[in-house]
Amino acid sequence: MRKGKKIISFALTAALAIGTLAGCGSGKGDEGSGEKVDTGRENTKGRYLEEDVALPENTDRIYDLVQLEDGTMRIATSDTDGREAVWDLKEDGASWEKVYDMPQEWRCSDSFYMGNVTLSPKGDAIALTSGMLEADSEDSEQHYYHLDASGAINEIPDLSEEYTYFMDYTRDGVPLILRQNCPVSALNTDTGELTELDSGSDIAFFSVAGNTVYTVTYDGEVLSYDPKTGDPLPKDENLADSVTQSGMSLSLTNLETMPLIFCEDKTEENLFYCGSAGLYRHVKNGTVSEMLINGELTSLGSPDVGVKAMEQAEDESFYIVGKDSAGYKLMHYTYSKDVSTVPDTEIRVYALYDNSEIRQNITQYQKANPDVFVNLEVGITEDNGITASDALKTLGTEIMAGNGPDLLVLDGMPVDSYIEKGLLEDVSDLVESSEGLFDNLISAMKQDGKLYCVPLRIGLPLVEAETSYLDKIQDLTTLADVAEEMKASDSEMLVLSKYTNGAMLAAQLYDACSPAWVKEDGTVDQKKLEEFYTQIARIFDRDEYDEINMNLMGMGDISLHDYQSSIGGGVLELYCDKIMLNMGNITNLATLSMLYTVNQDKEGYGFKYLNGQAENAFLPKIMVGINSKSEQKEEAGGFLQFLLTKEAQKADQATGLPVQEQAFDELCDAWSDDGSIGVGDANDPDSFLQMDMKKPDQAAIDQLKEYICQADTPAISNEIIREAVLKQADDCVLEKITPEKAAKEVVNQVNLYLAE
Amino acid sequence: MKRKIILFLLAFLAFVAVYPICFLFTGALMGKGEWSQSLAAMSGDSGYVQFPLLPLFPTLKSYVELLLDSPEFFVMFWNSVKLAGGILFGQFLFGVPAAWGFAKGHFPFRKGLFTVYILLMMMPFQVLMLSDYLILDQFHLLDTHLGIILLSAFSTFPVFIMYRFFDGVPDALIDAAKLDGASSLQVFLYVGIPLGSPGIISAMVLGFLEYWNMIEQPMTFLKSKELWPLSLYLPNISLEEAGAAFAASVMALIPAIFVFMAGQDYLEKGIVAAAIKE
Amino acid sequence: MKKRRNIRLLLHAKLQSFSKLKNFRGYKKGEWTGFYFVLPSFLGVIIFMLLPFCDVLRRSFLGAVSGTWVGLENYRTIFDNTAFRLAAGNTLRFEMVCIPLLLLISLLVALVLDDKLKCTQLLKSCFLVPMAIPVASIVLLWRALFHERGMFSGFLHFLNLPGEDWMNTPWAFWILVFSYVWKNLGYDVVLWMAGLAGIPANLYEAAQVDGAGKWQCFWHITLPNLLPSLFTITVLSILNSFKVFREAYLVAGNYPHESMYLLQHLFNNWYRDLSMDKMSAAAVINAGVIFLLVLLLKRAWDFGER
Repeated sequence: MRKGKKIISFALTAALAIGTLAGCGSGKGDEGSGEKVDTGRENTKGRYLEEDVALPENTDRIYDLVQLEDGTMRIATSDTDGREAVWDLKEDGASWEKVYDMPQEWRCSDSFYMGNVTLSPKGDAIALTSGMLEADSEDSEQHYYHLDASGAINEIPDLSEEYTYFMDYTRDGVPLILRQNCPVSALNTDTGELTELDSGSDIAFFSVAGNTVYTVTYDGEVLSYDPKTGDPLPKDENLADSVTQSGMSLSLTNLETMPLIFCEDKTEENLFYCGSAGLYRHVKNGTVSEMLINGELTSLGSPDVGVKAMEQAEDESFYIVGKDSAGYKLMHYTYSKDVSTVPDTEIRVYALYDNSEIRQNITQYQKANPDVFVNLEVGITEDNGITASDALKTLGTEIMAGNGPDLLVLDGMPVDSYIEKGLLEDVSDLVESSEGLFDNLISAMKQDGKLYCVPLRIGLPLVEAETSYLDKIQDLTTLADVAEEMKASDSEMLVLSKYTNGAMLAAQLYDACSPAWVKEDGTVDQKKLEEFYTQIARIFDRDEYDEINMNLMGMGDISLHDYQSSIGGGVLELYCDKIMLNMGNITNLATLSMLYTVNQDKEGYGFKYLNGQAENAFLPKIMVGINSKSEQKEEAGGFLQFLLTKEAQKADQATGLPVQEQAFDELCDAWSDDGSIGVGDANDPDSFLQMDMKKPDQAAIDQLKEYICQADTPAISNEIIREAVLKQADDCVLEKITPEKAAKEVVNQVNLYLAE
Repeated sequence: MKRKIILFLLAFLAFVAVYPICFLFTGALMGKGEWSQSLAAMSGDSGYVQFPLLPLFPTLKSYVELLLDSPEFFVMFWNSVKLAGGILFGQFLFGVPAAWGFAKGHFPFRKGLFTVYILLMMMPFQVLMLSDYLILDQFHLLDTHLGIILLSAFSTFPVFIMYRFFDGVPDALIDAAKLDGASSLQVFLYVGIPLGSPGIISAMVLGFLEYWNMIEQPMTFLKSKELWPLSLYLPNISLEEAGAAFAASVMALIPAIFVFMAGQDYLEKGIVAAAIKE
Repeated sequence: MKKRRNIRLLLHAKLQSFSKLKNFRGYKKGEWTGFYFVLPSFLGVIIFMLLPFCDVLRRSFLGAVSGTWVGLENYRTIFDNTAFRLAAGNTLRFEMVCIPLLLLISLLVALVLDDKLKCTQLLKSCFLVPMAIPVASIVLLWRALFHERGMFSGFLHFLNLPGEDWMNTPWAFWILVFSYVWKNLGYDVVLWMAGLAGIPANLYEAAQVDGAGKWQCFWHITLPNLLPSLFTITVLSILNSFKVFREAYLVAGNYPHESMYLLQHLFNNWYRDLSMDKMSAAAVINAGVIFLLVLLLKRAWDFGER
């Protein structure tokens, strides 16, 4: 027996050793084989400061930026009237001299538009246009034009058949293009001939720095090529590693900006690359990468910013063309020796889940206050997978130890408990001095005249159906009545989407009903809950329910809340006559657009505020509070006030509607007409649904605004109650348990929590 | 006949005890299609989970994905080794002399102090969590492996186990050694440790099993993900990634089983030796 | 065995010189030597265990976040607190059920297992293996087993009995007990077997000569000689019973079925909600109860030793 054991243990060890070694090989690659990424923070002084360069009047779009051989910065733009031009930056660095207006020969028909322009350091340029020659032609075509230094335009014979995505020039003046499913190719401007580089065809995007072509494949690999010979250059592992280590995303999200761009300096020794993590300098074929500009401290790190082109000027400052939700801009980064490398003041913000609005606001705030660094810490990220409970425990420990954050984003946290323990500051004074807020919302959040948490955005429960039905819906019971009426009617349409299960239905109605369930003493009213379950069982269409595997596993995850409870989910199906009744929360203006389109295009449909068991309910989102144990309450307060200003409130990443009135108005104005949405099942061509969205008219906007002004009852944001309620919903609607039992179960679970 | 029935019952019990390991090994060898099918009943509405004893289509895919595609697995693995190793080393350094001192010492309050040790052994972690955090913070040991190692290196549990073994070392032997001119330290090193070695090893084996699988301490005191041990990799795997969970569980299991197998003989010898009282 | 014999010879040789020193109170000089061995450990224990415990003690008299003195208020609060009563009750119930159960089963198995059998080694290994399995791995199995449509329900279905979502019924308590027994069975069996092996065979021989039956042998020889082992095993088993919280937490989350709701769940949740005051008071009470228990057991052990 002993011998057997010895053999077994030896075998196991061997297996383990082999397995470990195998992993070591790939694991080491991750360590970077000696690569160091120096954040450059060893000096305490010196930082690149960002400023926006004023663009030529009415500039709408910037196509490219290039540094000419004499050092001048040149850009190609189009303005709001649709005219393209090329400009040079004057000596003062603040005004522009027009080089030429683009000749209009390229407009072959009304449908042609300028797709892209790329500028050469030698002064010439290539323009790429798209359009349809005749109104009824099936495919659009692309035309290539070459412009010389004076702006004279010449068409290049089109030899490519594939669609071109990106273009760029080398320092020697050779233009390169990237077409769909093709390698990067050099374009001969006289003959239109394309010479392919040996780069393989799975390139996502490319960028030229000096005379080297850098490509990023769909797998995220960074490779380089020599455009003259077309051969690949030896892979710079250190570059690839430091790009990976910087953590920037390399996935292409649109065709106007790129996740990563490269440029070289005049000495050809330094390579610069820039992405969401910031701007880095890499000594070519060296081992060191240095972060020059920290994405977190500048616009580069904002989730809504993408970059398009970059050059380093002779004074070693950087010009970067970027695009954010407001449009295109030209950012100029100059090194300032006297400003501290890391800002003196650090405001720590903690959020359980990541939030794009806050990130955008942080970028805005930091720009306006360069001596402040707002450090956002996210508790639950994609790659750490800890539970909310554990994250909260860690947070609690830090707060108790005095290491807590200054500002808390309270979504998903036990807010009531924190208030009870005196953890949150009373910010009513701060908020009172903020302009233009919807007062009803703020008053609704007050407890005993004190305000402990401020929602930065809100959601409203709405219901959408044919007006004859809509008028009958006054509360939860009548909603159920209407649903039953719909079921009884002969219509081919289903009442609810067949993809809705009990939990989703409960989630859609949750915010309109939950305020009614909590009694004065904080316990849950079992009777009201029972009524809730009874009614949703009536609404649910059991016969039509398609038993699709809907995993409820992510229930506690706030980021899934919106998905479950949004009214936007069902609008498309309503529009395409698949269902009769749609309800849920509206959390962004795009949804309003969808609802409006339904009203416009379909006769007799409408939407209105949903009153469930409670009236005028709203869902507070991105609730922020100040840690009463913080030592920087004043600074945190300053940031909080900023978050309530019009500028900050205009950040719209679809988490919720703004709580500041002017922001709401301006966002509605800015909403443009274009856009269509479609959804379908890849395996089922019949299932494809589509809708072209229209910008809502003033009446619709006013209607929504009226609802916002009506809201006065916050929904319960207690995660434990929510999870308990949703858990029972499925069984209840499928009639596996009675509403009474479901309510009892919830009360039991919640009571444990309440009893603690 | 009776004997056979009893043996059969025992065998059945043993099977029940070992089944989970079979479950894990089998699951790790299953392709995604197979285990998602077996476990499908949990997400669907009908049918029951049917987990076979042996995979129908064995494949090493889960292992491959785990070992070659997830570099973080190895980092975590070595973190676990570091932590467990560090703690055991600390326990050896501090706990063994302490157990000897309690067993063979004659200083006042010896019994009382030992009772305090036993009491401290019983404290659930949650209770001391915040206070430990504060102390680690004071020493700037937060978010380091050393902090966790120190916290557990002074655990009184191994002292308790080793105490019993040292207690069994005959006094006469110690006296004899002293007569030969050995100092207390030499007695400890040359008489105590060799004779108590089964006990020391038992404590180490038990300790290894404990610290290899610890969850609460790393979660609370380690913020950087790159410092996390293997035990934290597992809880977060959902039903969809069960393949990775199986393979990771098996990989985490192997060192424990190895240590256990290597130590079992000593474990038992030691237990037997200690139980025999002179 | 060899080692011992050598030592015995050595001992014999030394005994002669030793007898001269029978009355030598040389220990007075080295009275504190023993302490020096304990010192490093003791220092560490003070810093990393006693200090934190004192901090907990202190907090039990203070408000949670504010830190103001509230005296015995927290203690009064938790005694009134229903959750605390439920958790404490459950924990007590759990201890009272599973410790005796485990001790009994493991003793029975130990009695039956005989070192002379060939397969004993294998069986012992089988029983010991559960200790090595990481908790998180077990969780998946528990879920697969005890899900409403898990393997256990499937088995019952086979017998035409209805299946349920076991983790959400009072059966959850028994699942926890099962999990605990399964994990610790092996270790206790080994300990019992060691204890049994320690009983000199000649005692049994003498009794049998006197005409004692198997049952009388067991009652009057085996059990009394096992008392010291009983203390050790009980203490270790209690210690291990606290660890069952991890499984319960991973399988059923923060708010499991009522029957499974233990003190540690409560501590966990109080901690998360920053109710440090209540948690500290409950912890002190918990420590107090355990202290009493340990004292009692020690009395029994000392009594048995004589």
